[in-house]
Amino acid sequence: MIRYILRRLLWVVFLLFAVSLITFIIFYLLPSADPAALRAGRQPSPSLVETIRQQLGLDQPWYVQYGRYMKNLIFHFDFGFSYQNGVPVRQLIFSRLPASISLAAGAAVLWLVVGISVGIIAAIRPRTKLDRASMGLALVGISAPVYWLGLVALYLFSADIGLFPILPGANSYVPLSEDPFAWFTSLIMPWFVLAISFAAFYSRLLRGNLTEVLSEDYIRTARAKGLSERRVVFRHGLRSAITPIVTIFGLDLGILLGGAILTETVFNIPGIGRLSYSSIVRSDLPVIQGTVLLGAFFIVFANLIVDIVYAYLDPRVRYE
Amino acid sequence: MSAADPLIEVRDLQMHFPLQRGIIFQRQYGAVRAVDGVSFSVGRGETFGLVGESGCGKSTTGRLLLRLLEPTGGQLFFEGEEITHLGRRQLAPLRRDAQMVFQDPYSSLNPRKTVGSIIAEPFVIHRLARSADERRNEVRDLMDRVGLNPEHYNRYPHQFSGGQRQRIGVARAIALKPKLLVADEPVSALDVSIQAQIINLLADLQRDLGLTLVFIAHDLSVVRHMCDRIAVMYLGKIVELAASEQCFAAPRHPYTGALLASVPVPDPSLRAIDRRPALTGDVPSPSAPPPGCRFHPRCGKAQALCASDEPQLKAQDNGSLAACHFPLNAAEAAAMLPRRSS
Amino acid sequence: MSALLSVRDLVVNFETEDGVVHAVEGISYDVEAGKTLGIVGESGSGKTVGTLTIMGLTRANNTKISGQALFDGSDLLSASEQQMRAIRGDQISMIFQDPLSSLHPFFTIGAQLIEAIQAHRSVSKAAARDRAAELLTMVGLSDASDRLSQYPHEFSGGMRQRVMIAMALSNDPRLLIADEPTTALDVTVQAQILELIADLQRLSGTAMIIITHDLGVVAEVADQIAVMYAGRIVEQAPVAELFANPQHPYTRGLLASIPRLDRDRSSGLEPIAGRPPSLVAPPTGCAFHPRCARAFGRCSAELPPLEPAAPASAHLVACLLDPAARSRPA
Repeated sequence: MIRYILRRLLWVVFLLFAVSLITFIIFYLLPSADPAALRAGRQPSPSLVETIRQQLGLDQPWYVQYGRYMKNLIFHFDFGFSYQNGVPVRQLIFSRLPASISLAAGAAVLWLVVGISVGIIAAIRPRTKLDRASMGLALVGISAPVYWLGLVALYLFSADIGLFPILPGANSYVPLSEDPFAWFTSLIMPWFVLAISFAAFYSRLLRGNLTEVLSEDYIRTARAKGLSERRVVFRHGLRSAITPIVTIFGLDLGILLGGAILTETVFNIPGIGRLSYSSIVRSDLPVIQGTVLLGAFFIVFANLIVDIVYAYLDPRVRYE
Repeated sequence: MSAADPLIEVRDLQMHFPLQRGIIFQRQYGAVRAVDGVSFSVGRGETFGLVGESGCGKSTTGRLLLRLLEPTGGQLFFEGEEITHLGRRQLAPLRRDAQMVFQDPYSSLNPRKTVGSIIAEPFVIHRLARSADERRNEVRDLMDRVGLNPEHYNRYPHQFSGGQRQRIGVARAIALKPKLLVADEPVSALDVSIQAQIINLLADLQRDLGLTLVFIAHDLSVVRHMCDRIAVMYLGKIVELAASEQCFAAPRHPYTGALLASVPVPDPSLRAIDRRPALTGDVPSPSAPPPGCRFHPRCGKAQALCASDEPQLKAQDNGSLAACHFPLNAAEAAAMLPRRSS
Repeated sequence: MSALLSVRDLVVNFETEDGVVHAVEGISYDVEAGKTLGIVGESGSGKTVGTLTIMGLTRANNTKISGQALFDGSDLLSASEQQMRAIRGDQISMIFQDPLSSLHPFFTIGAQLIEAIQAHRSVSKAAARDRAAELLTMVGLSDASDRLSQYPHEFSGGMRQRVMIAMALSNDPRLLIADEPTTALDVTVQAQILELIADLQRLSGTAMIIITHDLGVVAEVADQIAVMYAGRIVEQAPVAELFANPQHPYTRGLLASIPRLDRDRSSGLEPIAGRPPSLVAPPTGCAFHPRCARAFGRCSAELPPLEPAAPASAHLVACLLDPAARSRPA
């Protein structure tokens, strides 16, 4: 098991290096605009642009720039400065991180609880009306785009424009440290909107897996041992059926932590997603690099955790 | 029997599958020695049996004979020509002459193709029977020959029973009139009352088409019925090589004896429980075979020599070959057989 | 002596999209305490469904069950699910064909054994663990306490089946049902397992039902044999009698179609013509008649009752042929 974890950790390091290199090369080779020109402001003179270019070190070959960037990153945890306004990228990113984490974590809890419960219920009552209804609803949940759901939610429940104004509307996000209650209520709608499609997907997935697992031979053995049906379904059945869910959950959570762009936009939550969108539009390379690296880190790290949990669940995997 | 003009000849054939381990770079730390130095030949028109339990290497040997795998050692000859390391293109003509029938009739047929197209595929691949009409006639003939209704040309495999699916597999294998047919456990997955039908079919086809048949199975009774000569395999090696009747009436290798003694027969007065020697444990892993004679840890007759010296196949008193330092004598062999003492 | 298990007129039908599957069509048999009944049949004969039904493992919306299965006087078929759970694994245990897929791959075998014990006995985990180690030793596995923390995939096929046997016998059941216990195993391992089962059975006095398609296996371990075809018992007799004097054309057909090590090498096998019947639309009259060389007019119309072959004989046959005609070569 230790060997397994070590191997995964080495992969994490390698992957992060690879991501940083690839991102760097992409933006170096295919810039959408000259960052020096953008930085220089409106109608700059060529000499000003050239000065800025030298200042930012953009005249150096790409591997020198990359080397400098990585050195700053690894030894000083310095992500550079935004081309746009000179603010340290680290500050930009970390100030937005709590909002993204709040959004992703809350939605994750919600979709896990709902998705798994519905999946289990549908699997143990196959082909009943309950099963068909819930799977049908789930299909709707998966198909509805998240921004549409967000807008509909706002239209129905938002305090300022909604038909039944019971929840705070867009732009009402407040950090947890400032006002826990307001933080919580402002996130209720975003959590639901974000969680719906995942919950729907997870419930369908779990239902499928669990139904298949419950027809396996070892479930028959468990029943033949005289175990209670609850124990058979939860301890024997769910334990097997949950492993693909664990894998997907890691990926989904990792991606979301890097910024749920659409939800953040609809509800005007100051998270990483909106930061990365605006930095792409403005070719603000250091910020883009920062958000991409952060996103990659979350995904890779989430996958590492998932791999370890998977190996804990399924002993056959530990022998790779 | 086959020395003069063998169809297949195998010399010291080896198939080692590497085992690898490592954090970043995979290092080979051992190998699964699936086939570890096997030699035999099969004459034209002969039915040759390969028998043994799981892990003995018989299926791997079957695949090696057809060059579905490339041996890691030894030599393989087909009709006198060496085919051991031929490339794919050079092997193409061999594919017409050597075919295989597989064990599982449920997974060896493509469920998305009609039976007709499955059987016609060999013609298409080797560019014979060019026109669709010609192919259809050939396929109908083949279906009739294996006992299927030619009118079912357009049906799909799932519409057939296990036994019928196996017939489809056989039809596909004999489509191009091969010289060699390797049957890898062709009846193990079938119901008892159907097995005899397929066994008889194979025997009839062999006679009518002059096929050479290599029959791989773990079921000793079937092998004895079908085969002229038999090789008993254990952990990648042949431990006994004999004419079928000799092998089953007078086994010389203790493992062969143990196998025969373990088979339950439909006669309550000949219980295996009474006959069999105390054979403990399971078959060791082919990645770590015991030193010396591979069977010695489980053998009732083993002595010090057996742990250090690997025995080679030697001629025995009854004409069979056995790789053993202390082979069974006639009395010991007789005690293990499911025969009524007269 | 009243039997431990008495099955009377068991019928099991499944309602499926393709129609009603007549899996078991009225079978009756007795199992005496300490004795072994061998049920022989091919796929589709109903041999497995019958015993699963006795265990209460086929109760679903689309299953129709009728008949009686008297175990110690009370009918298992009408028992509640709770009552059945108390009996399963405690009074009646079952082992299955494929020991790899029958053990949960994620739990250690120690955990699975302990679970089987604690389901029916209120003992501490430590006590259950000791008992588990004891059971493993009893079934011939060495280093029992080390083995408890191993996983099923670390064992070979024979060892896994031993674990299944240990699990089944953990609470000293009165009846053990073994469904094709050796079919997935190598020949030498098969012999070991059969011997183990026979020894354990003798030591503990457990009755056994062994289900198999292999006539050699039943000859090895059974006291009484029932041959099933298309959901019915077509022949039933004490073991020696069945092999000495098989009566039903299906039984005779089976014996003639298998290659046998105890006979001289015959010139050809006599297969049974045709295919096993559809359970959705079984043949009228005797289900075997389309494949029977001796079928005559009445066979397609009348269902032959299972009756003694000779007056007061323990040998029962379901065939309309004259007893003398059955034994004559066709």
